[in-house]
Amino acid sequence: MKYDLSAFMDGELEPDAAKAVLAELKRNKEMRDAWLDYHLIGDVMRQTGIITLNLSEGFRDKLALEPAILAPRRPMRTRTKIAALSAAASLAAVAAVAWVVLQGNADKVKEDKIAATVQSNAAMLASLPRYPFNSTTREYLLAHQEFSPSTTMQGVAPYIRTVSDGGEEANR
Amino acid sequence: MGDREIDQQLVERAQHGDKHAFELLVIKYQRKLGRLLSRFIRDATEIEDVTQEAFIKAYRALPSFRGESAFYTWLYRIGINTAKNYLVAMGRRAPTTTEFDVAEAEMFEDGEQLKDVNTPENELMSKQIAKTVNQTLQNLPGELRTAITLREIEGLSYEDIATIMGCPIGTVRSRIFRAREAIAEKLRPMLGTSKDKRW
Repeated sequence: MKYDLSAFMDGELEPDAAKAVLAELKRNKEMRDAWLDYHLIGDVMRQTGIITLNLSEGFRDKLALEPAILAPRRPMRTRTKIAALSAAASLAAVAAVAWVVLQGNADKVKEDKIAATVQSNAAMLASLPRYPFNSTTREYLLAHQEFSPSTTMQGVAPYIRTVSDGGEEANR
Repeated sequence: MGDREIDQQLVERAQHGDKHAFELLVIKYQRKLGRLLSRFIRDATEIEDVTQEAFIKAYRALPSFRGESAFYTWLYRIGINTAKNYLVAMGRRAPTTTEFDVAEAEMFEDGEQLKDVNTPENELMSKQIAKTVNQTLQNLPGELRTAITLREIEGLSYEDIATIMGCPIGTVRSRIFRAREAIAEKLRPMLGTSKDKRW
């Protein structure tokens, strides 16, 4: 494990292995001693510190008196890209699912509309007063129904009336 | 993962109650911070006290550390402010901002000044440690000595060292580890192994 610690210190360890080293540093005194030794060696070689300064003895006692910190987790800069990509991927997935669902709903809405129109047309047809049309009147109405203002409002109702009336006539 | 990322991981752990993680940062930066503070505090005991105080302040301020700057930059600022406050409290003149710059301080060659702040015992200990490190380094096989020197003094990555030495990265990793262990082996009897002395 010290082998990994050496690479970890140099920032040359994979993230998963680094996590294992950090966990080991927490529970293994020998590892912490090695951490101290390796950093001391680096400082001596670079001449970048007071070699004899070692706060180990007193500092740990002082730190023990400090309340443990429980800071809220913040998104760190290194995670921003991953978080943004994750969010974008999630959004895309939700959009795809929503599109499929809405497409299905749209078909259903269309079917419902048609059913409602047929129903209302049937009800409207039933409510119309019956006139004794003869064949001349029927032909006249059929020929001029496109000029009737009711055509756009009632959809296919006038046409249905004509045809069904024709059917009744034939049955007679 | 670079040096800054390592510090960031340790900071995040400390921010969530892991005091051991903060202790690792203390071990890593105590000597550097001490050296920085020795620029305007002369007494060795005072330097140790102020350095310790600076680390305690940094620990208390950890929740406000957002990782926008490197941990050591943030720590050094706390160290400087702690030292200034200490000097004011002691009725001494604190350095102005223009007198002191963190970036400059890192480049600061302070060999002579360190002699002033060290006690005779510390001076002797420092010399013994330095001598042991240098002698062991000189006695190492050439490939181990080159690998650790390129890493510790030149600050090169394993990939760059591998290119220079014409060997695989795994070999570089192994050579640096073996060099460190060989030197640490010689240092351990000097540094003590009792629980009180070391973490």
